[in-house]
Amino acid sequence: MLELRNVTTAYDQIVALKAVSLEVKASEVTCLLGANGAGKSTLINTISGLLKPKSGELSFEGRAITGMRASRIAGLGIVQVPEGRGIFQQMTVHENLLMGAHLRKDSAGVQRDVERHFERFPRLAERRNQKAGVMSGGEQQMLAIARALMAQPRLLLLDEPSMGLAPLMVEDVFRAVREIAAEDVTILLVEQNARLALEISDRAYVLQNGEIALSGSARELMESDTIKDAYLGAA
Amino acid sequence: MMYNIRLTILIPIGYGREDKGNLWPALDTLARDCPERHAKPRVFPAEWRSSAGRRKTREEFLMFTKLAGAPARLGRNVIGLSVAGLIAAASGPAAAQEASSTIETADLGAVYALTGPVAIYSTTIQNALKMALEDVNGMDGPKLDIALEDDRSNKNDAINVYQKFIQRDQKLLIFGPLIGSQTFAAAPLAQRAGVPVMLTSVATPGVTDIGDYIFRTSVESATIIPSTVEAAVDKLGIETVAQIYTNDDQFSIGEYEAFDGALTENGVEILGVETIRTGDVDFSAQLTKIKSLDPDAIVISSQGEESVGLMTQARELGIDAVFLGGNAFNSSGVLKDAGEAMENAMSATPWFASQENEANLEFVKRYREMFDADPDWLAAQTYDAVMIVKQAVDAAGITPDDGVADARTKLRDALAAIETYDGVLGKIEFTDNGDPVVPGAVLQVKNGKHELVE
Amino acid sequence: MIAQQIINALSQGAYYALFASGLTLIFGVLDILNLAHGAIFMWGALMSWFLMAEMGMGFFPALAISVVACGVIGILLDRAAFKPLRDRAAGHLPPLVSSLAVSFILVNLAERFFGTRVVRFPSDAVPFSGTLELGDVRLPMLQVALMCVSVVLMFALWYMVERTKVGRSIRALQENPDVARLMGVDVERTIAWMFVVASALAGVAGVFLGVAYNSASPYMGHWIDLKGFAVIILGGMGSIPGAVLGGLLIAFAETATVVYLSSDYRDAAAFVVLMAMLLIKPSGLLGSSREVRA
Repeated sequence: MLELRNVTTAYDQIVALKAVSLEVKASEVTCLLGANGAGKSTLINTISGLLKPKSGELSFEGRAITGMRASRIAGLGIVQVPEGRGIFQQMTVHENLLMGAHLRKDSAGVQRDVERHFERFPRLAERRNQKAGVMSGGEQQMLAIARALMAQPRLLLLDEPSMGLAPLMVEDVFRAVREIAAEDVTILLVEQNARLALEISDRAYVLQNGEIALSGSARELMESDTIKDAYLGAA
Repeated sequence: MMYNIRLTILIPIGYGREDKGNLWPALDTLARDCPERHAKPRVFPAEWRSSAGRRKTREEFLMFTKLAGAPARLGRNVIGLSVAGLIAAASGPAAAQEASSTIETADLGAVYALTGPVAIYSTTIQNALKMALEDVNGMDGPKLDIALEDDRSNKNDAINVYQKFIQRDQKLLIFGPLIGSQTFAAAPLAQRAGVPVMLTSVATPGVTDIGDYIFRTSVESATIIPSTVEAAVDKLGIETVAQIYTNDDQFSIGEYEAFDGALTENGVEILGVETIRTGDVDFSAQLTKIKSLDPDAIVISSQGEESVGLMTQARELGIDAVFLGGNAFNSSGVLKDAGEAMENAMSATPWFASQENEANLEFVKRYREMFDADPDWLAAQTYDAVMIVKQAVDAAGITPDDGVADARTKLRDALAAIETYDGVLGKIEFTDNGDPVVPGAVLQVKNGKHELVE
Repeated sequence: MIAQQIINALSQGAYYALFASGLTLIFGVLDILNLAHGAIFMWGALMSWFLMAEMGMGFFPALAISVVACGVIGILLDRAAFKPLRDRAAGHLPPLVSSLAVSFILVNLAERFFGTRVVRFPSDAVPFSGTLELGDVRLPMLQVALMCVSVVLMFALWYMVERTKVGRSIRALQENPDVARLMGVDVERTIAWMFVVASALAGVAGVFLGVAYNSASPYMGHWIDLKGFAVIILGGMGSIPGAVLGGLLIAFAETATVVYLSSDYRDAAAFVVLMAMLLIKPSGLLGSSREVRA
């Protein structure tokens, strides 16, 4: 579904991604592991079009998306839940959901989906007309995911959804991700919590210093000694 | 005789940037004024620094100039003077040349606001310059050439044009600029460089105090404003007034102060004083306050645009007091724009179109023929100014061999020697300071027209 | 007399609000002071004068054409002064300087096209002539019209920003431009739209002010620029209700200074209020203390 071939991205002179090749298969959950500063968010933002690659090619469903504007990539169905959630704090919860549906033209469908997401996340329904900024981190993460779903994504990019959340909330978030995956949405998940990520993933890549260090099925990587030592803790 | 003079010019720190700026043109002059056959100075400028304090620096500089045998005077123009002294020393032999006949053309400069906020006043001035030049150049004696440049109504451009006229273009005299604030900024440059200035529109007090190179044909408001107040008391029976003036414009402040003195002298009670700023358009707060004072008259000391706004808005607020004003009230543009609001308004003018002296009758007739429009007092002042300068050029006897500095001095002296002049304005008498005193008259607006108050 | 002064302050405040709302809209999203806002305001006034006095148009067609033209100038302004710098992520100072450059160009062009003098509007072209008299209070109908127009436009602007999709996009850009992009917001189109709206508002203010005080010149934008900045800082940068409140507050402060102190301090009054505000609440009356983005 999504394919990256030899993608290199740099900030000014500093190369953050070096010739990364990667594939996300339809209806699968693919996860991207790596330490802080390994280039995970750079990769996600390159896919979304917020960053332009220096070289290499990206294609989505057979169509080249290299260098395309972020708003157009969003229009193709690649929707990101950004790191740190990126909800619009000054807007109400309801308005945040509507922002997710920015490119949709079917207002009746949008209305229906809003109600659907309020059913799925009852905490959000309670706060429908409150400023999103006053909610807790976990609630904001739920809102960020719901907002992305409002766009009817074909590929959902999740950047560190567990970051800064209490353990209980992390579980809630991953439960939600699992549910979404079950609804046949393709997911690319970036996570530091390797164990949780691998548990719900089909396929995994490990990014190290901007390069793909390891890849394979989630099951294979779970067994790999490197992963065990580096990311799962020497338990 | 062959001199080989080697000069080292030292620039003391702390005398201001403009002094340094003046040095280079002075050196150019030095090189030009010393023809090859007599002397060719070689100039080695050097920055002269002293680690000691400022007082010490001055003493050291004095000592240096003494050693160099050049005259020096402490003050802002210390450089100009010492260099001028060196020039005199270096070009001594050149002065011994035989005298020759007078120059054919005197190169003069003029700087006025051709664009910008006060450009409203410059149209008639330009016309008058054109007409006067035509007349002057039909006469015997040296011709006048006047290069006209725009200062876009601001001080900095006026300074730039002045510097260009003084240094690069070597003009013998400068006409303008248009208004007082520009003059206070630019004219000191000419005074310092020894270039005569002829002002034809500046009615602000104090401009001729800049120095003995500053002359004008423009009449200071203060000298004619008392007649406005007298007429208002006599003819209109004014007993109380409120004053309003532009407090960031030197010209308007001058008029305000002149009114203030004249009102007090004539026993008129001043109920209140309000201020506005140049460029303001809303005067409702000040005028509402004045309305509550219910004065017989409102005295306006402002430039034209603000005067129009004040009068029309006062009427909108239901104020029916009569207006007394300064120079701006004499402008035909103000009269037209203010319309009915200005009815009965009074102002004094140094000149009016129906003045019956012969020079004026001829002037008004020719002006109307040439430009298909009416002249105003600025045109009259400018026309007389060019005529006076022509008279001075004739009298100065400047020869082609005179250096530019000498020519400028001769012209200044000739101008200073003119004590009276009978021209368009009538009989002008110049004070020792170079300010004109004219008969003048008081005008009142009747049915939308200026009429003479007898 | 107090009643008259309150009316004076209200109508002055209406101009300030109308002018400053566009300024604050642009500041809110782009974090830059648009120094060409006053020049566009001036173009609105002079263009409407040209259409009425030279082309013989009526007030309303002239108003409509001038306001639309101001909107177009707004887009051109963005394309010329801001977009190239935005593409290069040039920071805050370069756009400030380039908008200043555009304002000079606009003033110079106006000098060429309309001349440098203060122009007067033909009295027959202006509707709402006459004065409303309520006891001792005089209220020119034009001022009444302007106050009504201001209220309607401020409400329309508020509605647009708070209740429409375009407004939501503008607010999204204001808060987090990257996430707005991820949601599919076309940044350039939204910014262009914003410049149209802001500049059209400046145009409306220009036309009404020109007609009401029967005076327009290429230099009329200078003083209102400064007042506009004071208004939006006082009201809270980026806040439209803040611009309205700030405009009224400054107008009242100025009038009160004339009434109770002296007109000498009229201009200082606005800035004294402003400085007091900055000491008490630096984010302004209705400004949210926005997080500093890296």
